[in-house]
Order: sequence, then C-alpha cells, then structure tokens
Amino acid sequence: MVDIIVCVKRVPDTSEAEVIIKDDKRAIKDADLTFDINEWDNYAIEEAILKKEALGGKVTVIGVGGEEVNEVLRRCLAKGADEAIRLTDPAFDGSDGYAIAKILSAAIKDLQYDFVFTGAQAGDDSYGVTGQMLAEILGIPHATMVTKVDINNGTARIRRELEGGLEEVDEINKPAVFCIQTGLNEPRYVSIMGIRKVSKKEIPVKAAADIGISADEVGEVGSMVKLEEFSIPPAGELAEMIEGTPDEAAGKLAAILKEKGAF
Amino acid sequence: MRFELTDEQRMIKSAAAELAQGFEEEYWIEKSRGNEYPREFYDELVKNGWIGIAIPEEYGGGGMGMLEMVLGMVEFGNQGADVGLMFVLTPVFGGLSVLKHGSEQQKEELLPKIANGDMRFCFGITEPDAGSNALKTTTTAGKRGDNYVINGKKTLISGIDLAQKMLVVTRTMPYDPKHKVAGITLFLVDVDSPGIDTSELDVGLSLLEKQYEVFFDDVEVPAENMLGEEHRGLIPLFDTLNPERMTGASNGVGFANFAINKAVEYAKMRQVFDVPIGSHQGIQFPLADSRAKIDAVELLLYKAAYLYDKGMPCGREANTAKYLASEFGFEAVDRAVQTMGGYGLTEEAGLMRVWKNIRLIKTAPVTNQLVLAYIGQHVLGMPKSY
Ligand SMILES: Cc1cc2nc3c(=O)[nH]c(=O)nc-3n(C[C@H](O)[C@H](O)[C@H](O)COP(=O)(O)OP(=O)(O)OC[C@H]3O[C@@H](n4cnc5c(N)ncnc54)[C@H](O)[C@@H]3O)c2cc1C
Repeated sequence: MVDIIVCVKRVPDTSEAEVIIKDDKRAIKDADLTFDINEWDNYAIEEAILKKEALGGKVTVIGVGGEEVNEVLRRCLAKGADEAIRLTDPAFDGSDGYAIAKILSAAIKDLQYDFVFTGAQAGDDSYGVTGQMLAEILGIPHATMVTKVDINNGTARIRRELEGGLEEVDEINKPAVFCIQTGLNEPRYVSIMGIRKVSKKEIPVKAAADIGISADEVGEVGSMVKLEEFSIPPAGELAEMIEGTPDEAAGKLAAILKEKGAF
Repeated sequence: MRFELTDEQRMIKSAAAELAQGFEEEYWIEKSRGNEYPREFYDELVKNGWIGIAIPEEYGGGGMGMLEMVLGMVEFGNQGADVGLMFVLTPVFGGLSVLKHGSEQQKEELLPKIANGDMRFCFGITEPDAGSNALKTTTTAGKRGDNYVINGKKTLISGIDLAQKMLVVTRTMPYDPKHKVAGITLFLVDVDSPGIDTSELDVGLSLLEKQYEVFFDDVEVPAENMLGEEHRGLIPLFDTLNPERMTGASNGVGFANFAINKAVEYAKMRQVFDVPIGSHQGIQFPLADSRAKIDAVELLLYKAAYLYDKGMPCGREANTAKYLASEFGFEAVDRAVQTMGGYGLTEEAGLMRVWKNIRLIKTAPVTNQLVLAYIGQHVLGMPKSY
C-alpha cells in the first residue's frame, strides 16, 4: 500500500500561441490561451496512479488557485486519483515558488502520505523550485529530475537525470518528495468512464485559515522573488546556415567558434 | 436558454482534444496517403469509452447522450482527426439502432460488445439501383423455417472489412407503388455468414474506411436477428437518420475549424508582397466569412443534439446542420486551401485529405438535395418534390 500526494498546477499552453504582455508588464494576456495541467505534473499523476494500481493505496491531488483549477483536478480524478483538494485564498495571489511551497506544506502536513510527487518544473514560469522547497519545509528528503520510481515496502528506488547524460540511482525511505521529469511513463487519456465517475464529485476547498497559514506568509509579501516585469527577448540577428558535407560543415563551425573565442 | 457547457461537457471536449493531440498530424497524413486504417487511434477511442459513449451504463457504455458524442466529434475534427465514419458506423448504426429498436435480448447481447470494441458495424442500404430512394431496395429476405434468407447486392458499403455485423436493409414484401413504405425489414447480419461475398471498390477519396460491393447469395439469418418489426423496418431506419445527420455535421464543423485555423496561422506568417497575406481583404474576408458561418452551424448542431437527447423533434435542426456543415464546411476547407497557395495542394500541408473527405458529406450518407427536399416538404410544408 502506498499513499501518494501529487501537487498539480494549471498552466497556459504557450507552445504555439502568440504571447502578449499586459500593459502593467507583470503578466501575460491569457484570455485567448488554452489552459491545461502542467506537462510535468501530468507525468507525476500518471506515475502515482500506476503505483497505486500496482501496490494499492490512495492518490490525492492538490492544486492552488481559483475555481478554474477544478478542471485540472477533475481530470486527475477521472484518470484514477481518489481525492482532490483545492487551496484557494485571495491572500495566495502573487505567490512565488517559495510561497506556494509554504501553502502546499501547510495543507500536506496534516495529511496521511508516504510520498509527494510534484512536476520537476512548471511550463509557465519554469522556476523548478517548488518541490525542493516543499520537501525542505516538510523536513523530509527529496529527489529532483526523477525518471524512474520503484517502491518496495516504503522504500523508493529512484533514478535521477544528471547533467551530461549521467544518471544516478538512489534509495530513499518514505516520506519523501520526488520532482518528476517528463517521459518516465505514458500518461493515459481521460476516458468517458472516468469523466462519468467524477463530473459531479465535489472538490473540497481550503483557505489560508483552514490550513493554518497567515496572510503575511504567502502572496507577494511572503515571496522571495519579486516579479518586476516580463519582456520578450529581441529577435536575434539572422541565423547563419552552414552548408556542405558533415566534414566541411564541422570545419566551418569550428572556425567560427574559434574566431568568436569559444576555445 | 443556456449556452455554457457543464463541467462534464468541458471535460469531454478537453479529453477529445488530448486524445487527438496524442496523434501527430503526420500520422493522419500517412494513413490517408497509404490508405491504411488508423487502428492505433481507433483502439484508443474504444479503450477510452468513446465508441460506447451513448450506450447506457447498464449495458457497459458511458451513459451519455448525443450532445456529448457530438461535442467530442467536433473536437476530434478540430484537431484534424478523421472520425466521421468511425462514429456513424458503430455507435450510430450499431449502437443507437439496437438501443432504440432492439429486443432486450439483442441489447444485452450486442450493446456491451459494441461498447468494449468487440463488435463493429457496417451499414448496408445503398444498392446500384436504390440510393437516395431506399424504398426501391431489391435485396430480399424470404422466410425459410425459423430463418430468413437474404439475396441481393449492396454497394458503396464502408468498412465491412473492419466489421463483425452489418445492419442490412431488405425487402420482405415486393415494392408496391400504392404502399411504398411497407415491406422494408432490417436485419443484423454476421458479416462472415456463408453466402456473403465482397469486392473492394476504388473510391477516389483518401478515406480511411474502404468501400465494397457486397453480394448476398442465400444468406441465412435467424429470425431473432431482425431489428424492429417485419415489414416495418422504415421506423428504425428513419429513427437513426437524425443522429446520422448530426455525426456528418460534426465531422464537417470539426474539419472546417481545423482548416480555418490552419489557414489563419499561415496567412499571418506568409509574406508575398511586403505584408502578411492575411492583411489582404481577399484572403482575410473569405476566412472571416467562413468563421461566421461555421460558428452558426456549430450552435445549430448542438441544438439538434440537445433536442434529440430530450426526446424532442429534431429533424429540422439535424438536417439543416448537416446541410450547412457540409456546404459551408467544404467552402471553408476550399478557402483554406486557396489561402495556402500551391503549398495548400500538397499532402504535406495537411488539407488535401480534409478537402477530399469533407466533400463526401455533401453526398453521403444522404445527399444534400434530399436534405433540401426534407426541409421543403417537412419544414416548409411544400408539396413533395419527388
Ligand atoms: C465514400 C462513400 C461511402 C459510402 N458508404 C456507404 C455505406 O457504408 N453504406 C451505404 O449503404 N451506403 C454508403 N454510401 C452510399 C451513399 O449513401 C449514396 O451514394 C447516397 O445515399 C446517394 O445515393 P446514390 O449514390 O445512389 O445517388 P442517387 O440516388 O442515384 O442520386 C444521384 C443524384 O441525384 C440526386 N437526386 C436523386 N433524387 C432526387 C430528387 N428527388 N430531387 C433532387 N435530386 C435528386 C441525388 O441527390 C444525387 O445528386 C457511400 C457512398 C460513398 C461515396
């Protein structure tokens, strides 16, 4: 049996959309964007459900945000998560990764769990810090960039992706936080049967007071990162296409790199 | 009047979009180019409950309605997935026909298998001399002991190679000009019954389902495989026409959305003279015109499905939606092709397969003239035109 909590975030899909920055420069215009579960979290929820299916236990998903987050949570329920909790409070607005980690930890500390899965990063702000900070605040170990999870009697044997193509295998006892990398499984689709099962399920909501966190610990005041402004990087100079056989191209490339002082 | 989708319906749309996005556009182009069935995609449709979406839960289905089927279909089409015939053959001609007109035994036997993918359907009405006029069917079913014996020939039958059962339209009484509608009887026939022979037709579309001529030579069918009553097969037949029209319309709306979006992207980016071609009215206005038309049709389609689910008359809406979706949809895809210039005519650009297939909806399963004949006669109350 294994009880897993998965933290999921709702993010805009900007892969093909035109990104427009709002006048105050502190947000992007999202009215025309489609939103969905953060890609990394989609792998995290799949991994949790696979573990539950193999070992028994329970999967709980947690999201932070307004009612629109329910859609993401319901998708997770439809895939096989057992419970969902939505954390919402006006005080949470403007939270950075650290403040979100505080909010999540406040909710998680009172729950029964063996492991917490988060995505390795979020596709919108790409901070990639929430999982680690969450583990620190909870006072439990964590592993980042996790590409494989095997759980046996409360001990997880995990594989992590390192720089330069290296991989590392660790054994970590529960409880622990794993920040899940994409590609470690094939996320299932949401099925009609799943939708049927969950569409009327109420998702409990908890505000700051319910999880015992005060307004000055969260939101902008409780954050360490202050977002100044967004900008779109200026388009680069025209790219130079190197032509020729692989040998010639490699030679030309080496010459250019040398000229620019790369070695 | 409420226009917003329920949470469940929004989930249906996003689930369809996600499933469709699991298959790259290249997948569809390759399948259509090689005339190969997209089995992997179909398997996912089955596995995730789409084929049984409108079959009640007690028979192993999703327990939803036509509106949910249509919402899903439009979304699949929006993403460029070609699901038109997939939904009309098994879920509509198989699932809805049996659900509405099958005996309890037929429902218990067939519906769970339809929902779990074990049983696929094809539909046999068209004959060389009986297309738009189904009453002229010459395929006969004669009684022999406890069985019926079918003889005759059907043509343009889609997907018999993929199916286990065929819903066959026969005559159990000769055509009588005074009682034209009497004597039609429907049968659920195993496609591997002795006496059934098929021959593949060369249809110049890049359809995923192939078309066949089907020959019946003394094909014995147990009487309990009759759907509905003897001689009164027109009742179950007519009953599936509205959902059939809605699936055609969904396919048209989805493909039109797909094509418009593709063309708009291209027009914003492509510069021929000094500005993107999308800034020329000659490119922009036809696409805007199509956008407006398809938006209107989409609403009408959802209304038709809503009425059907409520058990209310929906012939007017279903027929109009199928008519406009195919006419405006074809126009939209054609304009999208035009927007993309010569590139639009390459397979790689991704519109040719859509262009060919959306053309079909003007003709099959029912021609647009016959749809107008319906509107003229049944909506406007004008004299029967044929
Ligand atoms: C790709 C493809 C797949 C198909 N799959 C199937 C299938 O799975 N099962 C099946 O049974 N059939 C199938 N069909 C057949 C299809 O349903 C028929 O082609 C269609 O119903 C038209 O019938 P017809 O071809 O006999 O045309 P006809 O009935 O011969 O009509 C010829 C033309 O005359 C027009 N016309 C006829 N009568 C009138 C009138 N009174 N007023 C005005 N115009 C009129 C028609 O609209 C049409 O334009 C398929 C066809 C195609 C092309």
